[in-house]
Amino acid sequence: MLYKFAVSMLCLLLLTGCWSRRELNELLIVLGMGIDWEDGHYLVSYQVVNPSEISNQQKRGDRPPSTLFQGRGRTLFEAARSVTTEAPRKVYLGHLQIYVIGEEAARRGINELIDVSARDNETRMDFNIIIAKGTKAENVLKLYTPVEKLPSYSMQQSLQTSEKNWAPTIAVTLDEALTNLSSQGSELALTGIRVIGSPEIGETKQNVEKFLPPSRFRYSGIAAFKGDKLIGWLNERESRGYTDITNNLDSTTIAIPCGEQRYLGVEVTSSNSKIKTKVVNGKPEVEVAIRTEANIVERSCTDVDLSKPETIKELEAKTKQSVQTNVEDAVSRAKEMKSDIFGFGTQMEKDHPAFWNQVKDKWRDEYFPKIKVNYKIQIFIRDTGTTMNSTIK
Amino acid sequence: MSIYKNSKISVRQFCILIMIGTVGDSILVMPTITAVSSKQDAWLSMLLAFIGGLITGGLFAAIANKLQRVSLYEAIRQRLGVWFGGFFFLLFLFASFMCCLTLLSEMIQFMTTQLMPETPVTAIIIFFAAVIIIAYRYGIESYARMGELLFPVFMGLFVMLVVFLLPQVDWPNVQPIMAKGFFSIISGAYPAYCTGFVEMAVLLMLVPYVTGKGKLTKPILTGFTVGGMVLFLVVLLSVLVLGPSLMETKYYPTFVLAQKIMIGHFFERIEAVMAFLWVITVFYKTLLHFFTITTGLAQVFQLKESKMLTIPLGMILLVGTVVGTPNIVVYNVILIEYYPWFDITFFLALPIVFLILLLAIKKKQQKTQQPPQQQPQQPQQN
Repeated sequence: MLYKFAVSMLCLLLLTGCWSRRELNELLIVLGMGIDWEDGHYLVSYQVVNPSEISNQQKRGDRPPSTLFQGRGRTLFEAARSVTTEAPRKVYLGHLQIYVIGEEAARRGINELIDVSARDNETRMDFNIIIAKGTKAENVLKLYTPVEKLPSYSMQQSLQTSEKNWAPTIAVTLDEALTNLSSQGSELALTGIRVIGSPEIGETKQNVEKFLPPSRFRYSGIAAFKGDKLIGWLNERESRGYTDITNNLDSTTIAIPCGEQRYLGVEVTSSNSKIKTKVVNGKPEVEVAIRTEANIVERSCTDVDLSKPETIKELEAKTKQSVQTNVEDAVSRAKEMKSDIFGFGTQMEKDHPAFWNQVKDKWRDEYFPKIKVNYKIQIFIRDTGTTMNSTIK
Repeated sequence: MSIYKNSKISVRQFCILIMIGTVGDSILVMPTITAVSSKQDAWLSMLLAFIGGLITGGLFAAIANKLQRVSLYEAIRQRLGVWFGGFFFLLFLFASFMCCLTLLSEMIQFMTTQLMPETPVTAIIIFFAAVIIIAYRYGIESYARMGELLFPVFMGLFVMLVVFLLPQVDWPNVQPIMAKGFFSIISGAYPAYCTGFVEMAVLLMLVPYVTGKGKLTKPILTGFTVGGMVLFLVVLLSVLVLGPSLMETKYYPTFVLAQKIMIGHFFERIEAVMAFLWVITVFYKTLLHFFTITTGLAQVFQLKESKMLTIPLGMILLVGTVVGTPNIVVYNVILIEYYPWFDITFFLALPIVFLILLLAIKKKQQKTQQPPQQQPQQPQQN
């Protein structure tokens, strides 16, 4: 009897549940996180979901779909924990989708930001990192966004869609950033985000009550890093060149001038690139081979006769010209900044490890800015849409 | 002798226990300990360790065959007598004890760093050790059968891990091959070889329970081959999917691998399920070592039954784990820099001594399986 009693009492000990359990109603689910550097302190902004606002059953609509909580501290963790003085619950980072770094913080160096995220046990490595261009990260995170209620989700989706369909953006995840920051032969590059329009209205609900929201976010340009510090921006054409060289370009559009302020639209349907390195007379050389397939999607000039094979040849040459300028500009801009964002050094390490061992310490400042790059660009125009020459006069 | 004298496990069960034991905690730590010195050549290190492991497997098989289903202690005692034999055998048990400590450490560190950061380590050790003690008390037959049951689960999860990660494989990660020279590959292979294969010397303790009189070379080598292949694939996948810098920085690259699984935005976040994979294998490896200490002590001290040793030993392990590895940094330094030498000394050099003894000294003719008390205790002369 006593034995049975003891056993049943001991069983009760097992019913206390998990030690580290955290119920859903005790969590603040963070979707977006912003880091700023302000007067010697980190300012961490968490954009958290307001669960009652996004549920389908009980729509209230009097509150924003997410809320921003902010904390300050000398370390990021201190800043993160100080959030509890404002927030009712503890933040949970397992569903983080977008990580915005303010430009000032990025210029100061992002090693510690990456380190703390990689060290944390809650964060996964699959969120995207972006840089708030010319603004603070918090401004990016307090926007009402149309269509998608959750701004962070909207941003992540937009980033991933534009990476696929519009060239000058890249969706970099934490693990890729960590790999780039660890390697000597390649530098980190992250997409920039800007807030356009008036940020004051963007914070209010009126922003989504209009057809054209007065304040919106827009991805623009790629930030180049040297070491862990942001040192410059690539403009749109350079960014396009960057994604083309690094094989991040999937589909995009190219405009070919064909007359007075008239452009012919070309849709790139697939693009592959390969970087090859060689050592000629003790000097490194790089060959960038790009193979692109494209379609004609807009014929704005009537004098372009799409029924002739020669026209296609000519258009291919023009497209090639356009692609070549982009990549050349990107490379020369990167050389100017002495930032090997293309990973030529990493490729050199793979192809010529012995040579790499000799030059790796001087790669960034001496070899990369002087490297000779050859381009081998092939363009194939395959289709002209569903029509040949349209009969419109 | 223990009360499990008449317990029998089949050759198949024996083989499965070796397989799971070989995978053991190595599945968690292997990518890190190989990548620390050999970076993107970690898989070559692992391959080298695998080859070494097969040779070691051959050595263990030779001993196992020589034992002819007599327990290891019995065989040593018959040749060296109680005092010398006991001394050597206790060294072996000591090594097993240390191994148990590292395995428990491994488990609690994984749990506290990745899954349950706020849970006190003692709570985790108590539960983990309790299951091991219970398994031991049920006896070798039960847990060998359980191993047979869990093996398909283990393999299923493992195949899932491999197949679902194939889309994320990035071949250029392995380049450049062997750029850092052969030495770094060897220094990566060495700890991998020790943690993965040498520690499985405890399989010798299982030999007396295996049914039949046949040679055990085949099951032992099969076990080592399958276990080694699993480890090799894990390391290779880590290189291909994560790349050397993540392998080196993260403590548990295998867990990160599981986090990486993402099939079409709906099949993802399954790492907690995947964790079951190494919970099974670490559990079995710890159990085998625990079995070695407990049964071994009972044999040396000629106890009638060994069950009474389990709880005190569990308590010693509980304290020993916390004291022995106060933090993860100390643990990693021990694991990578010192522990391989310890392993080599006790789990490879010592078995070689045993083998030499078995080969060199003829067993003194006596009525076999007599109670030990009645046997002459003087060392044998050759």
